Amino acid sequence: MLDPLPQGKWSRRAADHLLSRLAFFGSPDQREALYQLGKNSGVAAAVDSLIDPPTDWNAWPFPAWTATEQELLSNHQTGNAYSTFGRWYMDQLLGATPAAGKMVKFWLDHYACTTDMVMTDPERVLYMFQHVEIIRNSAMGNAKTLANNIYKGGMLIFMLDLHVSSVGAVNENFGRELLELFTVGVDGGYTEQDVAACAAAFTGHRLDYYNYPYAYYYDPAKADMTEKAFLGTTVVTGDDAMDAIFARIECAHHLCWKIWRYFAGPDPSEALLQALALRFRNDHNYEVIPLLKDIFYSEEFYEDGNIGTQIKDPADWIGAAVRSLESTLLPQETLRQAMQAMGYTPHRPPNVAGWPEPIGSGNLWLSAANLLFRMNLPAAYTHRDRSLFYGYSEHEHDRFPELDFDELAPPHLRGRSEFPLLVERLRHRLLPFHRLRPAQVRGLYDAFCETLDSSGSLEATKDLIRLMMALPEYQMQ
Amino acid sequence: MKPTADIEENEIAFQGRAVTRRRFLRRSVFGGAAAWTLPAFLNNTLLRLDAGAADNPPSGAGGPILVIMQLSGGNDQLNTLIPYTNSYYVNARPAMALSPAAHSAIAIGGAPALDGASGFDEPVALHPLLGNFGQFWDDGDLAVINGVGYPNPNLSHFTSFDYYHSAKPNEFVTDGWLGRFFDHQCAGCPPQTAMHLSNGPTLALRSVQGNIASVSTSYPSGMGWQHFNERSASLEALYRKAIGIDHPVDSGISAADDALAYVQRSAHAALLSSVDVTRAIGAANSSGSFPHVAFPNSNLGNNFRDVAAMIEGRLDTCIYYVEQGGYDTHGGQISGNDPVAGTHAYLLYQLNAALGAFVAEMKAQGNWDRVLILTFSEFGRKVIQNGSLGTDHGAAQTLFAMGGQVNPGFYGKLPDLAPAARIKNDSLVHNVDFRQVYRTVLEKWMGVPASAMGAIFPSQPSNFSTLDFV
Repeated sequence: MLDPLPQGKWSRRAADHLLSRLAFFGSPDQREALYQLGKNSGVAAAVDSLIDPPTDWNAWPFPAWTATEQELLSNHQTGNAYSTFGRWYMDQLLGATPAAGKMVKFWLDHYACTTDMVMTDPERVLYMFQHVEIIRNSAMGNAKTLANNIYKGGMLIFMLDLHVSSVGAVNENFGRELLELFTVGVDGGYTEQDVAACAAAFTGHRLDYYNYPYAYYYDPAKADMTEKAFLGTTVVTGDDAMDAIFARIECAHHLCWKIWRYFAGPDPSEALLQALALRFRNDHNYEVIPLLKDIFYSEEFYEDGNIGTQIKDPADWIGAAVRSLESTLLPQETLRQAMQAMGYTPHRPPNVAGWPEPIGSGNLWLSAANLLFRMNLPAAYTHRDRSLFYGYSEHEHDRFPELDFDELAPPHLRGRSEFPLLVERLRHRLLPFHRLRPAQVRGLYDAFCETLDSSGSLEATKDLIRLMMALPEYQMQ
Repeated sequence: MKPTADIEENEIAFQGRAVTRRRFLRRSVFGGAAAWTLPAFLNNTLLRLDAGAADNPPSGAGGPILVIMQLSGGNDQLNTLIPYTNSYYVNARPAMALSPAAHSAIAIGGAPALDGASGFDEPVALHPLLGNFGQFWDDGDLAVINGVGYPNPNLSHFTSFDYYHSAKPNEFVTDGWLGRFFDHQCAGCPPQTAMHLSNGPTLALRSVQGNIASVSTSYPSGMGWQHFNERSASLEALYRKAIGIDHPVDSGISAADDALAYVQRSAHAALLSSVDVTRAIGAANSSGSFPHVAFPNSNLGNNFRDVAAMIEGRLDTCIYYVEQGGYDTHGGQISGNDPVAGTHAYLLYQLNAALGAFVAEMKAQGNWDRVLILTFSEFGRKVIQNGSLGTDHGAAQTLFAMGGQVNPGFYGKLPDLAPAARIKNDSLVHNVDFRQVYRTVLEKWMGVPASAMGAIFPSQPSNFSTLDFV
């Protein structure tokens, strides 16, 4: 269990799998470089190269307009705050050390908070930026530290009614979700009495939400300082409760379950989870980096059933498009609309459990609506089509740079007789884990030829890439 | 699997039993019993193309329609149907209790209650902002089902929703109750047999046998392949070819039932249904008479307007699934000192407005007798108010069923509100299992034979009695 992948099993396919899960995939050059690194310096070196380099989050400061209440309000009212936030968030995911970007996305889903819950306008804008700041500061650090920091941010406090929970008037919302969603999980062996005790332990947390910068503070007068029976021990404060929670193996088990499913596959074995949980709690003291190395060094991660079998979530889709087309993120407002249409608005998860998770062989990301949008979205890249986006006379998407078609599909390959070479080159770039069936190749060939005759080789190339990115296979990583 | 052989067999079976597409659908929705398999899905895809060509446009579904109205977050049943004379209720909610006299709550008589040993009729009133519900009651179109829940209730949103969606409480869930209905009773159903007005699918419609007989979209009229230049139409045809929709032999669907096969099936279902859905909505919008009434300008109002358009446009859909979120009213359930203001009141106001418009539209279309609307939430809330003018997660709840053919009145019993009778920290005990309600809907409204119930509701005890609200 959790033995390292033998060096002899390292392959280009393994490198691609690693990049598609621990990063937002890569260009052909990046993929080859990672493969060579692993071949020459060992699998661990390849994995470490995606994990170890520290990320300087100061490269993505808050927008200047968050500095005053008046500007927060005006940016909220115009909606600029939200499209700015989405692009700021995605810029970090793609600009950070690969594993750090993926972990920020994981934790934002784990500690899912929606601005809808924050009723007054200027502070909610600031809180959503601060929520990401709290997450990114601990994303690759310690999971318990993150848990202790996250509930002192305005987003989570509002989301789970912590600011109105006081001794004698306890609101159980945070206490329940801390146990069920954030730590030990719904099967974590707690009772309704534990929920009540947990909620009572986390009282006295307040926000000064009338005065910029709407800071968190602790009000001991509102805190329940009695001794409470909780998870088989006795606690007084929230710190005590958090200690009791993280001492439970169920906490490590639940977090490992979520992290494995996020990175590797939907159905980890119980033996694997137990091994990971013991290491996470006992050996790593809830440090994230050694846990990630356990996962990405392991033979289990590279099992064939895990490769090319995960449905890209919307951020994965957007990120992989940037990398594999060697392009850039969509412009701010078109990016916001595209992510929303795919079901992913980072400051508005569907509920406190976050976004859909994989279930068995399916994945709830793909409704008919989302999938149809994914079939259409490639045209925004290949044809700079903006008909999918609304609301602009001077459309910002017109400034989206043209793809480098000479690099993607060199002109000397754009003919009938070279079609097999062209389609294989694009398949390698876009669909690394899947072969095309003969009937698919035939369909793509017919499309290519039709456009070639009517509109020339460049347009035929654009149509071909668009179709390949619309294939069901392209939704997989 | 051997795709070619499977398809041949199924084609023969098909030729022997149906002539028109409409008859085919009706028969297979309500009469078939064939288990759904992956080859059957492929086969169905092809049959639909044949059927669509032979009988085009759709002749429309004339059968019963079920509208599921999901109230997400845990609706406070005691602030929806109010036992205003009950002293436990009044004392448990000093800031929130409502009454007809003080707040114009809408009294609708006495509901059978479990309060005390012998039981009696407890006076109840609808929330004052549920005026249209009051009208449905006066019109004899409303059934109120009290005390609905399941054994050993779970107070988690997600677990409890899993149980309500799967109809498998206290089990590991893999599929939905309506998904199993498709699996066992819906061979040959098109993808849009159920239309879910949301961008994310629901477990309730999830089937395990490869059948995708449901479509989730919050914007049905925007479905389809985007036609932005003159080549797009032919590109769509070539795309359909590339994913195998138009290939009798090469379906394009992986033989393994894995995630890729799921995406492939979803892609087929999405493309096929988008044609029919946009056609139905287009037909309604170009009819000149739709909508007959004004719908409220809210998400919920827009969803019900879309449902009404699809019904008017004769889409072959028998289940519409609509959601309204926000019912998790831990804080600010009421605002200020006014128990008729605040989050919950606003949610009920929106619900009342959207359903009022939808029902009026159904009557104007002449479809009200074909429609049954069922509301539900993942749980009710606790008897007591909490420290922040809200209520916390509870258990038993009240459901509403409405329709032109509903048998009006009260079903189930109001749970005993006495502290000693409560469970799980002030939650209420159920006396109607929600699977009784589901079975009633499938058997008495959708016409599913009783013999199929064992497969659709496999959890023990599996043989639930039905209620008489339809």
